[in-house]
Amino acid sequence: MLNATDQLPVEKGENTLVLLVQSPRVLFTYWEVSAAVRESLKGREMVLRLCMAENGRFSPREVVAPPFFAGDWYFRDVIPGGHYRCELGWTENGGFYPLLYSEVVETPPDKAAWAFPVPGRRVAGKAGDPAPFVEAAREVGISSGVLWKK
Amino acid sequence: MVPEGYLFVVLHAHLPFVRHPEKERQLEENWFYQALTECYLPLLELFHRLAREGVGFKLTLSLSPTLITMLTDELLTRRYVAYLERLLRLAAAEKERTAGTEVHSLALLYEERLYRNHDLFVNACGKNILSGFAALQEQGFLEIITTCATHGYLPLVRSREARRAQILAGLDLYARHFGRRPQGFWLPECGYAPGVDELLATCGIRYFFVETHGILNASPPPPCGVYAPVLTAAGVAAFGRDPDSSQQVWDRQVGYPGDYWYREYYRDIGYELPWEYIEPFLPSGEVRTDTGFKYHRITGSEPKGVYEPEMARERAAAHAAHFLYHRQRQAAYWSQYLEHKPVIVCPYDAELFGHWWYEGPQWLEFLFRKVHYDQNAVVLTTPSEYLAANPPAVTVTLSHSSWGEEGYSKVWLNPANDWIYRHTHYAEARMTELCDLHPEAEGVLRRALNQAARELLLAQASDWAFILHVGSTAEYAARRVKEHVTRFNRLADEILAGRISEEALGEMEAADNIFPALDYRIYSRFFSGESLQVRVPRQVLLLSWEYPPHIVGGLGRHVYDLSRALVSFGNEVTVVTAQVSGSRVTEEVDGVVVHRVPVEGYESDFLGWVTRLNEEMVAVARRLWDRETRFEVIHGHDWLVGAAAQELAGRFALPLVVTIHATEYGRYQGIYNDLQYRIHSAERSLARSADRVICCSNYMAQEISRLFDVPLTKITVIPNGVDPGSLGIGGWRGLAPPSEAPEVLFLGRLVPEKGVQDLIRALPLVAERVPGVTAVICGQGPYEGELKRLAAEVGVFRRVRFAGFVDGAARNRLLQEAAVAVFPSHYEPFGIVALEAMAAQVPVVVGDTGGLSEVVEQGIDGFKVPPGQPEVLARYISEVLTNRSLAEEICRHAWRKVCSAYSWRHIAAVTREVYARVGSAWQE
Repeated sequence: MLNATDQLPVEKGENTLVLLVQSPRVLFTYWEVSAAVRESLKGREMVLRLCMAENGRFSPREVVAPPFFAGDWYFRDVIPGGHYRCELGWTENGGFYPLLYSEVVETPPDKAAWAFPVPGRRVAGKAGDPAPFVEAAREVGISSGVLWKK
Repeated sequence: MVPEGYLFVVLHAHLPFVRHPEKERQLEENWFYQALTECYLPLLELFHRLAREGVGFKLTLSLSPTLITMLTDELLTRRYVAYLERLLRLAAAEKERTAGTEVHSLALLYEERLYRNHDLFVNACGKNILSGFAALQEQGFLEIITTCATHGYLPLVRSREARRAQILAGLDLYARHFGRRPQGFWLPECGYAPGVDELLATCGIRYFFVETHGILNASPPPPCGVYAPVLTAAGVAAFGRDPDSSQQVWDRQVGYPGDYWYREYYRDIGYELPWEYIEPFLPSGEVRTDTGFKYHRITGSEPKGVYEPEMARERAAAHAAHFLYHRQRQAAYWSQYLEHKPVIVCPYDAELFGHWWYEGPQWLEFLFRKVHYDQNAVVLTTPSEYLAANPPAVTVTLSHSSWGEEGYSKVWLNPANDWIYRHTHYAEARMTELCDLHPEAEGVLRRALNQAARELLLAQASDWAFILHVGSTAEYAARRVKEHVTRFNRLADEILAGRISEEALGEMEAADNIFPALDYRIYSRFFSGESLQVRVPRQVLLLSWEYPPHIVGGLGRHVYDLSRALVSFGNEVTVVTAQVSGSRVTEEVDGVVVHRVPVEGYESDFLGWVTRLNEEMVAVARRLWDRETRFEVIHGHDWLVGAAAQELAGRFALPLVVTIHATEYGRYQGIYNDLQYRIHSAERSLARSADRVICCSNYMAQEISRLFDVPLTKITVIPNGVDPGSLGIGGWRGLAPPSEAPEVLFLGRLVPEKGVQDLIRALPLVAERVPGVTAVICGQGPYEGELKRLAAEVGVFRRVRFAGFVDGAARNRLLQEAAVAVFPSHYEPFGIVALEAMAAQVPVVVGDTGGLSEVVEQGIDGFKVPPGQPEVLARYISEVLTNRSLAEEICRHAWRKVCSAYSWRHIAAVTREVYARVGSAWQE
C-alpha cells in the first residue's frame, strides 16, 4: 500500500482552471471540467483563451480549442508585466461564453528591464542616470574568478 | 576605523526528507550521508576551530526543517555511523591497494579525515551535530534561520493556507529544536511571489532574502539597489543577493570551484575500480556511486593530473583574498553614494562547500581569517545585527523572482514536472476543507488529519520538481510525489467516509515521521492560533454608531457579528455605540461588553449630533481606561465615529484600525454639497490617520486609495460575512424542486445601475428554451415605472411580477422558491444580496462588475456576465435552468464558500491577523 506508484488520477470530477506564471513570457494552465459542465458543452466546441487586462477589461490574446476535458497548455510569448486570466467556454455565433475563469496572475517584468540605479554617477555617463547593472559593475571594476583560473 | 561596508555570508543547508526504514541501504539516503561527511561536519569543525582561536567570524546559516529532522533522527544517524565505518574499511583497503603509487598519500588523507569525522560525530557531538551549531549560535558566531517545512517552492503553492502551513510548520520545528523562533527566513530557491511577505509578517518573521532582480524590479525602484535592505508593505525587511560575489563562487565558467588545481568531483573510484573490489563498500550494494575517494584534479584537459592538496590549498587562499579584495572595492565604491554603509549579501547553498567544491570550507576559513586579521574595510555581520542598527528606509513592492535558471519558475514548472501541481493543488484545497470540517478532531481522526498534512507537505518539496527537471534519479522523485499524494488521497477519502484504517495510518506514521508535533489546523481558514508566532492584541475597543438593537443599515449587523466572532477567539471586546430608546446603557451580550451613549438631536442637527456622539464615546472610553480596562487596539467603523477613534488612539497611544464600509463619494458618485464635502473630509482624515484600513472588496480598496490618497498596501480587503441562520438556513438543503414554471428572482433597489432592464430584456430569450419561466422583481425605486413599461414592450409583462418591498420573512420564502437569482448590476461595491442568495442555496448569475465580480467564481459557484448584455445573460440563466446538475454543483460550491470564506469566524480570524500586525508594528 505504502509504495503505490500507479499514475495519479488526472480527473477529480471538479471544475478547475488554474493559471500559473512560469516566467515573464510563459504561462501554464491546467484544467478539468466536471460532468455537469461537459453536459453544457455537449455539441459545442470547447475553447480555451488567454486574456490580458487592458484598460480595465480582459481582451483575448490567444485562443486554442483543446480536445480534452482535462489537460494543460503553455501560453508562450506573453507580454511581461501584464495581468492575465484564462477562460474556458464555448463559442457560438461569434460570441464567447465562458464557463470557467482562472485567477488573475501577473507576469513579472522582463529581465531586460532590470535597471540598477547608480546614485550620482560621476565617473561616466550623465550624473544620476540609472544604468544597467553590468555597466555599474564595470564602473566598480569588479572582475571574477576568471583572473585566477589559469 | 569605521568600516566601509558590511558583508553577510549566508549558507543555506537543505536536503529533501529521505528516510527509508523499510530498506537497510537505500541509495538516496546516501545524499544525506555524503553531505554530512563532506559538508556539515567539515563546516562545523572549521567553525569551532575559528571560535576556539578567537577569529570573530559571523555567518548566517539556514537549516531546513527536513535537514534538521534528519540530523536528529535516530535511525539515520545510526545508519550514518555504519556508513562511516564502511568507508573506513574502504580507506583501509585503499591504503593497501595504493601503496607505492602517486595517490597513496591521498588515500591516507581520506582515511585520516574519515577518522576525524567519526570522532567528531560520535564522540564530540554524540551523533547530534545540531547541538554543535546551536552552541555556535549561542556564542554569537552563527545566526541560524530556517525555511519552509519541506522546502515547498512558494510561488507554485496555490492557496494562502498551504503557503502559511509550509512557513508555520517550518518555524514550529525550528522552535522545538532551538528553543526560540528565528528572526529570519530563507525562501526556498529564493522563490518570492506577491503575498508571501504578508504571510511572513503574520508569522513574526523580520527579514528574508530574495534574488537580485526581486529587488531591482521592485516598485518603486530602491535607490540603493541590493546594497541596502528594503521594507515590504507588510513590514518585513528583504535583502537582495549581490550578483557579483555570487558569480565569483557559483558561475560554471568563471567561478572559483572550476580552478584547475581543485579536486575533480566527477572522478571517483566508485565508478572506476572493478565491481568485485568496490561493491562491498558501496552504499546500496547495487549500483556504482560516489565514495568520496577522488584522486584527480580538474586539470583542464585529459589526462587528469593527480590531485595535489597543498596546491589546492594555495588556490583556496588566493581565491579568498581575491573575493575579499572585490568586496572591499564594492564597499568603497557604494559607500561614496549611499546614505548608509552598503551591505553585500552573499548567499550560497551549503552543500557547495565540501561536496561539489571540495576546497570550499578551506576557502571560507581563509576568507574569515583574512576579514578578521588583515583589514577593517568590511565587517562580517548577520542580518539581525545589521537591522538593529540600520532599519530599512525604503518601502517597496517586490517582484516575483527566484534564484533558479532564468530567475523565475522555469526549473520547477516545465513539461518534465508540471504534472505535479494538479495533484498538490487539489490536495491543498482538500486539506483545508477537511480541516474546517473537523476543527477539534481527537484520537484516530486527529492522527489521520495530522498525517494527511505531513503527506501533503512532503509531496510539495521543491526537490522533486527539481530532480525531475534535471533528469537524474527522476524515477525516485516521481515515485515520492506519487506516494505522498496517494497516501494523502487515501487518508482524505477515509476521513470523509468516516472509516480510517488504523493499520495503514500506523504504517504511514512510521514511514513519514517528520513533524511529530504538527497540528493539522495550520491549514484552516479559521486559523488564528497563538502559533502564528506573534501576539494578537486581546483587548479590543470597537466604535460603531449603530449596534443592535439600533440597526440602520448593514453596518450595525456587521459589527455585531464581528464582535461575537472575536469573542469566540478569546478576545475581550468592548463596543461603544449610540443609545436608542429602550436599550440599556451597559450590558453584556454574548460575551461582548456594550456601552451605549445617549445623544439627542439626530434629526435636527445631524453634524452636531455626530460631534456630541464622538465626545461621549471618548468620555466613556476614558472612564473605562481609568478603571484599568487596557485596550490594545481601537477599531472604528466609518467616519461617524472617526473623531473619537482618532482621539482615543492618540491619547492612549494605541494602534488604530478603521473599517470603511462605504464612501460618501461612492454612494452618490460624486460630492455635490457642503455636507457631503464635510463627510468626505472626515473619511479622508480617518483613512489617512489609521494604521490599517479594512474594506470589503478590492473594488472598494481601489476607490479608497484613489479618493483619499492612501496606499493600497495599507488597505486589507476582508469581505462582509453572511450568516445563513439569519436567512432561516440551518444546513445544506439543496435546490428548489424542478418546476414547469421556474422562478428567476431579483432583489434590490430599482435603479438603472442594478441592471434589471437587462434581466427583462433577457427573459424572452430565456423563454425560448424554458417556456414556463417567470421572474419576481422585489424592491422599490425610481426606475420601477420604466421597468414595467419595458416588460410590456418586450412582451414579458405576464411573466414578471413586481413584488415591491419585501420584509425578511418574505425574502426568505422567495429565496426558497427561486430556481435562480439574478443580479445583473452595472455598478456594485460589494453585492451582499448575491452572497445571501448563495447562502440560501440558490444558483446565482451576476453582473461582472465591482465587488460582485469578486464574490462569484465563474463556473464554480455562480456565473458572471458582462453588464448590459441581455443575450449573454439569457444564455447563462437558461443554462442554469436547464442543466440542473450544473445548478446543483455551483450551489454546493457556493454553500461551502459561504460556510468558510464568508463565515464570521473566518472574518474574525483575518481581522485578528490585522490586529496582530498593527499591534506588533506598534510595539516596535
